Amino acid sequence: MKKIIFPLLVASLSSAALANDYLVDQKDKAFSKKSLKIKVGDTVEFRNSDPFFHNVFSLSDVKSFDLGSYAQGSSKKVVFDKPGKVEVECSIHPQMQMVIEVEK
Amino acid sequence: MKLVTVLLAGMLATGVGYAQEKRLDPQQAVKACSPGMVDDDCIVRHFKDTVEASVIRGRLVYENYCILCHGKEGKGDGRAAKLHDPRPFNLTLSVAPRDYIAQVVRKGGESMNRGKGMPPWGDQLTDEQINDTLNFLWSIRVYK
Repeated sequence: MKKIIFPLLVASLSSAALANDYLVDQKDKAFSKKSLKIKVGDTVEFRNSDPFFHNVFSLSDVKSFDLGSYAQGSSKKVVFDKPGKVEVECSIHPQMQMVIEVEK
Repeated sequence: MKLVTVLLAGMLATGVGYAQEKRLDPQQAVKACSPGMVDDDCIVRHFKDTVEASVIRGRLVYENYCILCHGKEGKGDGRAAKLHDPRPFNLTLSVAPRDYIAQVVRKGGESMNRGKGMPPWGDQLTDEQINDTLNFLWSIRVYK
């Protein structure tokens, strides 16, 4: 039993250790990146640097989420756990759009 | 067809929701616009202080900012509706007073002890845009 659990534990710990964090800023009603390539398990932090609210969300099948509206100086994080293309938008500012490509 | 639609919308657009705007005179509109072309553009351009023009402008605001969650017809079935619990409100069924709706729009749902999914629009929209949007919302209400 131990022989099975131990390798699984090591594998999960090592993949978590390899995961990267990325920062996407929201400034002047625009995302700081139009596109971003990350790996499965990586985290993206969406920071609001504008003096008004933003509301980041995605309707993509790969990862749908809604971070709610939050003010300047705040940030929220999303872990991307499946590969594929994720289109990210702001519900308050429809012109704000970016794409995150999550690779295996 | 457009003339009929606009005039019908004007007739429907009644009730306590409308503030200080005056009503569109259909005969004047027919004279001011090209024959058979009493369309949205003509009304907004030539009758901008009327309820009808405000409703048209409000619909444009709605289609830019609100449609995502509340849907094309205001029934709470926009493409982002599935992300929210509680689901976006069916605005056609609203009977809430104008001041209350204005506060929800300006301050967002959370500040008003409603769903957190409704963002605060006070920084994004002008008073005129909010007034126009409210006029549009009143025009789609089932209960006038």
